[in-house]
Amino acid sequence: MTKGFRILGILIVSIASLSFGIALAAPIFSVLPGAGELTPWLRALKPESMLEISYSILGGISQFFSHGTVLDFLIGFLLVFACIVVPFLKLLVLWNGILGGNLESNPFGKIISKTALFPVVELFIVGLSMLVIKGFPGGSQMNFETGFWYFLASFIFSLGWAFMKKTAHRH
Amino acid sequence: MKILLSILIPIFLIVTGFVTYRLIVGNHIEKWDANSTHAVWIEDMEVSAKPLSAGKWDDDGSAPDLVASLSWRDNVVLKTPEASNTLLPHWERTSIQLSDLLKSNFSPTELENIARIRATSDELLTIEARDVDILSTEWVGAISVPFGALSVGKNKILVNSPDSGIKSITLRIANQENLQRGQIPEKETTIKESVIILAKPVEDKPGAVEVREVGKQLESGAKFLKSLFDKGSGE
Repeated sequence: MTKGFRILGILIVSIASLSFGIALAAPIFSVLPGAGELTPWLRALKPESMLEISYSILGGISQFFSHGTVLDFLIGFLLVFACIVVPFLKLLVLWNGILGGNLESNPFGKIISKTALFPVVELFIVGLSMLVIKGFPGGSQMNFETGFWYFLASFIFSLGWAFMKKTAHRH
Repeated sequence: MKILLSILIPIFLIVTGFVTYRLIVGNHIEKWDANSTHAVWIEDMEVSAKPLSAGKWDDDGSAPDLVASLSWRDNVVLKTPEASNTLLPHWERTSIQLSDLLKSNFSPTELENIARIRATSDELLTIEARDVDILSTEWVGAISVPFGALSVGKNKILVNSPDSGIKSITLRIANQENLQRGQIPEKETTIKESVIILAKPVEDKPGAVEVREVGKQLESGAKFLKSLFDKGSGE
């Protein structure tokens, strides 16, 4: 890896890491409740039930854990794995590659390396969000918020760097 | 060493991004925008234990029945429903009045106790409170604040003056478009400076209005007689 290519890598993966940090803090989507033709009436008569609600990744996950049912715990763990663990491991592997480390020299590192380069989980989250956004009844709306775009940016930058590195390696 | 670094560097950057976002968003206050229409409503108030005129609020010893109003450009733009027997009135953003139910039809926006205001930062918003009884109303206090001192969200206005029966007011402000989308900002700002305490307005004594009306009638009658007299002497 040339010096210039390494600097480019540090820049791209730093942006991906910072974006991921912002994505964890910022609201990822918001839900605006609707009740069809009764929406303006409910907004007037029961305004607190019609307020827009925003969810961040950490806030959403903590709600699953606070509900206490087994299914909620399972979904919570799945979300922790998909939205926090996998993206972090991916960044870890990318940083290791930039620093010239050999993560795959031990079995644990090998597992991390294989897990992290598996972008399907993040794609699943993005795809699921796209589907959900269209499917609310009664005129309820779901909108992507700042956190979603930072999560997507982190995903694209880390995937982009992995792709660039692989292409450079082939040549 | 390289493995340790490849763990610590992303953790450091992720935490940096997380904390930076929280700090920026946490400290961001949306100030009054002269070009936007804002929804303004009074949420809470605290009034003094005794009226400025000393004595008791009501003869039976009960707390005042408070009605607050917002005035802008010398017009009352919001009048709250009556909050009975309280020193700490609270008003909801929406409420149904008996008069609404008597109408054959009314729109949901009529249930909102909000004032819609688009003003420059140096214009003044006046907040007044009165104790409304069956036969009379008693002035509690009034203050003015420049719109520039207000922010979108919860504005807690502290009034520390012996000349005002109002001790504090919580004023809610939201961007009109955002409010229609169900967004009510919760960021709280405390305002102590730039609060102007207004003196009690000069009020007419009982019967003064009637006396003034009779005076006007007499004056116009005298003018009429004078014109008749002038005509007669001319001929």
